[in-house]
Amino acid sequence: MNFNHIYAIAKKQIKLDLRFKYGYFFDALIVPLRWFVMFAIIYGGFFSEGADTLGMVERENFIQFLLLGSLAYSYFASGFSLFHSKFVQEKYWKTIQGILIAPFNKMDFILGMGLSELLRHVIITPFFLIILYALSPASLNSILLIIITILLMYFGVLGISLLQGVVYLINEDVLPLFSYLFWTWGIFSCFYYPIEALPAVFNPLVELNPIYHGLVIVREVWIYGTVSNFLYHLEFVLSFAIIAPLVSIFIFNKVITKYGITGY
Amino acid sequence: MIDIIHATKEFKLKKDGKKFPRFFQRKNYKVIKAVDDVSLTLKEGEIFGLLGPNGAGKTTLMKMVCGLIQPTSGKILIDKSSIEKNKSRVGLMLGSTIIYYRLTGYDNLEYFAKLYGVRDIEGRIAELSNFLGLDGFLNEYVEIYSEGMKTKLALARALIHDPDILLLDEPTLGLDPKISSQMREKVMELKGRGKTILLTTHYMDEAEFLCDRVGFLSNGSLIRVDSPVNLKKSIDKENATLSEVFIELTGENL
Repeated sequence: MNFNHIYAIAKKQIKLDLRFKYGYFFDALIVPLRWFVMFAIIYGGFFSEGADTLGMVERENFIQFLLLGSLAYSYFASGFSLFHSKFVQEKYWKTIQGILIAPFNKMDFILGMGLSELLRHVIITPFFLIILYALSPASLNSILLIIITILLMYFGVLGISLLQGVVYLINEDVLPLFSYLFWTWGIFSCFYYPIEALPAVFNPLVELNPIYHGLVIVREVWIYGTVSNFLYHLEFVLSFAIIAPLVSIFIFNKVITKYGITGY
Repeated sequence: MIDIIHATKEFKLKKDGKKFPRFFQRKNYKVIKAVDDVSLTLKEGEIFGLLGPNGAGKTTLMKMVCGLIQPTSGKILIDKSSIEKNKSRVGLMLGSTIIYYRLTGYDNLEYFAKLYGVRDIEGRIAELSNFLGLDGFLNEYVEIYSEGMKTKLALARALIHDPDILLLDEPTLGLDPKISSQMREKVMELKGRGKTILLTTHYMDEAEFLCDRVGFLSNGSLIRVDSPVNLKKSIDKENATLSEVFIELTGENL
């Protein structure tokens, strides 16, 4: 790992992103809010009609439940689309070769690009955390654990994103498959509803999903102050954060020189 | 210094002529050899010109030499070791590409300098700016540069880490005569500094002026390699040009 490389990649990407900054920040604010608003209306109606609970979601905590889910989703969504969206630009700007021939570790590339994308979250993350704190204060340790868990999930998602990026470079036909993956993965991550809201037949899929386990940590630690089976959930999140980027880098290096870039 | 050993690059094409990766092959495809069994050794400090018409395989060969794509068969070595191990010794210029138009010239050079681990970045950028006449432009966005300035910046980017080996793909394509002449002078100066240069060009006068040796590529195959002087002597015509030699040897026009 080379911090100079990570810094250079992040700095370059931030400068490119901020070339047209108003659209960038507007999008960064709207993405986490749109699903939050929709589900807040649904849960609001649900509880005002006399319902008591839906899994861990209760009348008293549904706003916190949704805010934490929205926060995690915003990292998930921006991480998932990061390499694909940036490779689209680099491919048509004909700058992608510069990345491919430069002598640096692709882990630096993931970290640099991931770091640059965190800028997108600098407004919404404190904003959501302040509202959460106002609704139900949490300890500093809990807040740190939540941030670390979200970043670990984000790092794992960046690995999948790199895989999507390289597939995009070699064959754009495959890209729709990733949008279906994103959609399916989102459904089985339970960002906006508890696992109990899904038919029980899907529970094994949810239980295999590291994002779901990350969300359990994030929600339980804020809402209850403690996490049941913490190590069990952490194992999923940590394994994902380590394995996904490493596997993606391996595939990236193998595939890109073998098949080359097509379609430009 | 650079050994290209029986390098072949095949592309599988759909019926409509579009390229697609191997794992999506269908039964009805045709194979084209963009580079066909090319063997060549580039000597240290020489300028070698690859000449040939569009589609001859010049750029594909160059992309293999810098490691952008792998040969289907054969290998390419730099000082007897793989390209992967020598990436930092190679500078690639593909026309005016590999520069970010939405960044300033300085930001472009600084970014690549950091990726290549250049130590005195400011000093190196100042040196290249002076060498290529980029002074006064580096703090502007590249999008406002003229084509000549973009090409110069692309050359500066390729040189930012002071590579031993320079790959120049059509370095003067689309440039006016004055800038083309300046670029040629810069290439000669780089040769004087000991760089090994592989360049592709369509311009015969450029190849004659710059190259110690040239190689004629036709349909992916290397037809002949020699110095421009010897090549011109090789056909039975007085004051023959390189174009005439190429036509004589291949039956194709450049």
